[in-house]
This record gives sequence, C-alpha cells and structure tokens, in this order.
Amino acid sequence: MLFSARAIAASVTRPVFFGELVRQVYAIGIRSLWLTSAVGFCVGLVFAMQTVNHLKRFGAGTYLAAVVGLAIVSELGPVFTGIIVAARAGAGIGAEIGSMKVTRQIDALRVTAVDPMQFLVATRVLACIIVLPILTAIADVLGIFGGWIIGTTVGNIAPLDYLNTTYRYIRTTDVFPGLVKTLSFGLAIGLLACFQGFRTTGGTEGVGISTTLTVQRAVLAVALCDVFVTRLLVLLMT
Amino acid sequence: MSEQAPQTQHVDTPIVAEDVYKSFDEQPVLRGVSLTVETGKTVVIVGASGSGKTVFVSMFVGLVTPDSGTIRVFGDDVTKFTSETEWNRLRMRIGFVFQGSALYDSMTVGANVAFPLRHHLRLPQHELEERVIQKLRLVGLEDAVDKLPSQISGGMQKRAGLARALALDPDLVIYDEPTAGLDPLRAESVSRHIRELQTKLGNTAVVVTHDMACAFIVGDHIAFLAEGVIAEQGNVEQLARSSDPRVRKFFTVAECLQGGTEQ
Repeated sequence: MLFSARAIAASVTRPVFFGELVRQVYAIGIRSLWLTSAVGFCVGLVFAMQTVNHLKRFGAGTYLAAVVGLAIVSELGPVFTGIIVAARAGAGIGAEIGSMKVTRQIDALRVTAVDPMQFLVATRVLACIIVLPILTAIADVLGIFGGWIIGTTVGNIAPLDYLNTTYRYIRTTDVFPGLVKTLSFGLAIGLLACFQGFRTTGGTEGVGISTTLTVQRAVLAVALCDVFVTRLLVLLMT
Repeated sequence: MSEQAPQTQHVDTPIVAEDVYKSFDEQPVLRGVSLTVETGKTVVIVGASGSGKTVFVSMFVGLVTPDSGTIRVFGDDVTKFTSETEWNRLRMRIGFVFQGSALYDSMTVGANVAFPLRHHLRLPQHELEERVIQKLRLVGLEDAVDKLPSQISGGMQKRAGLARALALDPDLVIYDEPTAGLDPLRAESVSRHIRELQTKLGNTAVVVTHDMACAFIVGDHIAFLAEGVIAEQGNVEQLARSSDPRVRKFFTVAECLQGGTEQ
C-alpha cells in the first residue's frame, strides 16, 4: 500500500522523466502490439467459429456480428490484452528492476539524486496505463475483423450486413467500460511489477523468482480488477 | 583525523562521524565508529570482508541509516534528515563509485556519464557532450563513449563508474572497493588512476578497500576497521608500527602477498 501510494504520488509530481516514459511506452506498448493484435484476431475468429453454428440452430445466425462484437469489446479484448501485457511487460519490468536492484543500479540512481520512484516506477506505471487501452482498442478491432471473416464465410452473412449489425448493436456504452477497466489493469500490472522488482534479493536466482512472482500476481490482479471494476461500472451505468 | 572528533568542527568538514552503531537482524556490525575526513584528504577505510566498511560509507549518502550516533556531512547532521529532498541536495556534492560499478546496463558508457548532468544541469547538447568526453578522458575512456557496459572489461567498467561519479564535479568522492574483482595489474592501474585524479582534482575522497596495495597507493590516511570499531588509524608508517595484533596480521599477510606478486 505504501509503495503504491508513493508510486502514485511520484507519477503526479515533477520532474516527469519524459524520455524514459516514451522509452517505456515503446517497450511495453509497441513491442507488445503484434502479440496482443494476433491474439485479439484469433480470439474473434475462434469465438465466431464456435458461436455461428449455435446461433444458426436457434435461427439467430444474423446476430453473430452483435454477439461477437459485444463479447469482444466488453470482455474478451480487454482481458486477453491485460493478461498478455501482464505476462510480457510484467515479466520484463520485474526482471529489469530486479536486476537493477541486485546490481545496485537503483542505489546508483539514488546517490545521483534521482528518485527511483519517479524515474523507474512512475514512468513504467504511466506507460502501462497509457498503452493498455490503445492495445485493447486495436485488439477489439482485429477481433471483430476475425469474427467478420467467419461470419462472411461460414455464416454466409453479407460483408456489409455484418458490419452494419456490428455498428448498430455495439454502442459507446459497451466499448467505454471495456477500455476504462484496462486503465485499472495497467495500474495493477505496473505497480505489481515494480514492487516485485524492488523487493528482489539474492542475485540472479532472486531475479528469476521475482519475475515468476510478477507474472503470477499480475495475471491474478488483472482477473481480480476485471471482476471488481466490471461490477463497479455496471453499478455506475445502471 | 582522529578517532575522537574534536568538539568544534569546521562547518564544511566533509565527514565527521561520531559513535556510529548499526546492527542487522540483531547482529552488530558497527559498534561505535568515529571518523573525521578533512577537506582535500584521501582517507582509506581498510578492513576484512564483512567488517562493515561499505555499510559505514553508505551512511554518508543515505543508503543505510545508522541505529545511533551522528554523522555530519559538509556540516549537515544527516541522522536528522527526514526527506529525500534533503538527501538529494547533499548527494549533488558527493560522487559514489560502487563496488560492482553499478553502471546502467541499458545505457552506453557516454549516457551513463551524461545521466547526472542531464538530470541536474540544463546544459545545451554540445556542452553536455563536451562534459561527458572530458570526464571520460579523465579516466582514459573517451573511446568507449558509445559502448555498452557489457562490451567493456571489468577495469574499464570501474573507470566508467568513476567518470559517472565525477560528472557533477563532486566535493567528495566515495570509492567502494574500487579494485575488487580485478587482477593485480589492473587493480594497481585503477589505484594509480584514483591517486592521480585526487591529486589533479584536489577533492576529498573516502576509499573503502581490503586491498592493502590500493590503500598504500591512494591513501593519505588509513583507518583500520575491525570488530565494528576503528581499531587503528594514521598514515602507512604509523599503521605498520601498530601494536594491535589484528592490524599487524592484516599488514603482514598483505606484505607477503605483495612480495609474492612482485617476485
């Protein structure tokens, strides 16, 4: 809790290490983009594959676009993206900071009068918060595209009809909560990964342990944030 | 430089430590260490591995907090500091060379040296680059400016760490085991480099080492830390004449090793 409070305070106070923030946005965002995009596309594709025949059985095949779109923007896109970033970027941050801790690079920052909370933690937490909604939005679009491929081929839905149905049934109030909850995923992943890195002791073995713990805890945090923030948003929006 | 610090110290004396205690998990490491480091002098703290030398000097920059005692750094009682802001003001006057160099491994050697300058001085880019090259030239590493720490040798990493510590022209430089992990020839070269720099720059230095050859080369004054206290201090000749069996043993073994190396 104390670490989180200090990290959040560091994120909103000067100086802002803008160069380091950009570096982290690149490391966490751009380098995760291909993975979150590929998974988003595949999830849309597979979800549509599994849903199309069930809908046809009930004579509701034309609703495929709405079902796939809603599932992706409200749950599948945000959660899959959150889990991928938790695993990929969480491991990276935990290992990098853990390694800096055991080689005394964090002490070196402190003795050069640079606050590690501002330079290391605030930049990484902010980067996670910035990139997650963007990665999710891209994964959402690609997931819908995956669904469109199945809908137009297996489901025999006209390409434009599929898109029109998607546009008609998915409202801003469906997309918005999905993107808002990724902010909480970003905060949780950034904080946990940095915290675990700062707690690293015991050389390279300690870095390995920290990295594993970061991934475990960050994935769990994404799942828990999903439950609580979704519930909160449902309450606020009804 | 005496074990018992005088009652009145000049306000800008780099280090005045009095009766410093520190324990870890109820294991006492420092049991009343007192030491004064005067301006322009190089004081070497010698002692066996695990004797608490690094713990002691880490207190001068706020990396370790003493359990009791007082430490004045440039006149400020750092044991009364309550915020990082107070520490950071002081840290700007101190350069710290870490045992393992602690270079930022994602940055080039040049970027490592530029790091403190970039964050504390608003210098134009060309001036920043000039300062970096100037610092690297001091340690003979101007050709390694674009290399990553992993691409240079251990001795070069030590010197790069030294260049980074000197970036802000500190009044006090603390060297933590500057020759650890180096072969005897490189260790001697690094020691001579430190001595030359101290002579050239005229700043104050505290060197922590268990390498007696390094202590002889760089030190104006040597303090021997044993069993949590400064057991003996003085210049090399005074320590060599010490009646303390721990000091004598340390010196004898060091001289034997040196003799062996020279042969």
